[in-house]
Amino acid sequence: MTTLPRFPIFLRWTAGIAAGLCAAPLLAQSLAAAPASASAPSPAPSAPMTAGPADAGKMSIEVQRSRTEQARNQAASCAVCHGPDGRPPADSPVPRLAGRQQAELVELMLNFKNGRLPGTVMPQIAKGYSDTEIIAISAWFADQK
Amino acid sequence: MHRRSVLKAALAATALSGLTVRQARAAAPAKVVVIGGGYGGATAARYLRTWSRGVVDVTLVEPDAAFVSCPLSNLVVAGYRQMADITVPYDALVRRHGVKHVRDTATAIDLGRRTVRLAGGATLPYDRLVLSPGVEMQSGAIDGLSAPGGEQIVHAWKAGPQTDVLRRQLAAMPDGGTFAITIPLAPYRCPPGPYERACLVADYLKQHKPRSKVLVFDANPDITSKGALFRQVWQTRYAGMIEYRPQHETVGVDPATRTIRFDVQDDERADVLNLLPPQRAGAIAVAAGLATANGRWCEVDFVTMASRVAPDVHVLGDAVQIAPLMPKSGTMANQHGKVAAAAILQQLAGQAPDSMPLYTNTCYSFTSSTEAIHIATVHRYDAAERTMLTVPGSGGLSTAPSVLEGQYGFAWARSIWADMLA
Repeated sequence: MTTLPRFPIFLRWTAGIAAGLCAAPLLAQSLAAAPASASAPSPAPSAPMTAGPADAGKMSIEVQRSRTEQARNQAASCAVCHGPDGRPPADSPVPRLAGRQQAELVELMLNFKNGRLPGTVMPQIAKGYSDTEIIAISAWFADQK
Repeated sequence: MHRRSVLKAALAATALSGLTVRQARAAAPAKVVVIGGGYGGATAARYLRTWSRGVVDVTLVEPDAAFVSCPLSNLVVAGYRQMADITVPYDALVRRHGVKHVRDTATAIDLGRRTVRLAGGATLPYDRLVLSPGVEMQSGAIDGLSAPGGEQIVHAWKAGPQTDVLRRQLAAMPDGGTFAITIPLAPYRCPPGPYERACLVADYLKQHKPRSKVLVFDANPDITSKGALFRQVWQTRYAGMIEYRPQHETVGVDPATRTIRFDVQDDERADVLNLLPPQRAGAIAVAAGLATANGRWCEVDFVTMASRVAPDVHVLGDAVQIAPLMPKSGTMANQHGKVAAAAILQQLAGQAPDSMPLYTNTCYSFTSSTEAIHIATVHRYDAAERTMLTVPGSGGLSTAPSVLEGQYGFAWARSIWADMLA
């Protein structure tokens, strides 16, 4: 019935942080390559997502839970096109998000956001999300095996 | 231990570790009643069960055995899809997700006692109520609709039997006839829907009854959504077939002569009349005193979707007094359902709700049987304004209708139906 992994949420969040490390060079590269976009007013980052990996050990379980739930809630928005938990119905032309590498999803979203990847709705939608939100949402989808 | 504290402890523990699910189940589960199995209510029911890992007791009050989608229903009117293609049973919500489906109509809410009365006579107690009542058609605003023959004039703005009636009326219309659709002042359900309907009716007529016309009488000063794109399609693909007349507010109708009366302009006659009355929140919300905006729409706290006047009642979908640039759409109702589900579970567990609602609206309109256009917006909660605002620089429209977006439109429907009901 439930599609959530069974191991405790704080482990999934820690895994997300670790995967976030892999995405960091991509993020830096993407911002460097698109100065116009980087200087454009970007949405306020969601405060709870800004803690670095060094803080992970100190974060209370409550804060970890809150951040994971926020990523889950924000990722749930994608389901209307990409299917529940990022699993589209069979034969859908819309790609699956569940279980894909976090770094791959982050790169796609940043490229949509920075205008380097064409599309129909995704370039318009990606511009509504901060980089930290993209990293967190991608981590959540990567965890949906 | 008091029942609610047991519940809080159980939910808090569950949120931390799946290992405690069994213990949580041993405690008395919170009761959430969901009124209305549309895009908002069905989504909330499914997500309340999934995100609580089956702990919270969810009862869906919905008279029908199956969901019928308004989005895509214009394709049924034009004969390009069947009713079965836009109908999804509630079975999986019950079987896979453990939602209790009560096939009855909610008739009244007692906010003080926290109970819902059903037409069948039963009373359901709730800890939290999710109210997704859709819209009530204010047919009384159109003089003559209740006259003899008025029942033949349908809005088909709630997908179901009227969708099929309108399809049959269009199919029976002679070549050279006129199909008229009237649009009330915004806000109304599905802003681009009437213009999509004009396109699809014209697509059907062009192939089968090419001497016919579509008249669009709009109470609004201009097309309310995707205006430039619809105008382009009307001037090219449907040139000479669709006639658009803004600032025409329908005030009456004569069913015998199939004549529409406007507040200012001369009467118009048509062979098929499709009148969309002004709308407000579903009757049960109005009766419960929740429609605090002009007596028509329900004001909510967008962090939780809780009513401004009844914090235990979460109102979703078209019934809500919308935030700026937020359409009354199926996608929005689905997003409302998830915000409400998350907030309810957090509050039941004694935690503060996620203070950063952030979601996307993607809305496809078909301009022919295969081509579609979209509008996309991203909505983020603004704490200072206490509402959802679109993110500057994000969102946008199609450049032109395309078959690819038509495929995405059909894919959207299958995905969101799975997200609500599978």
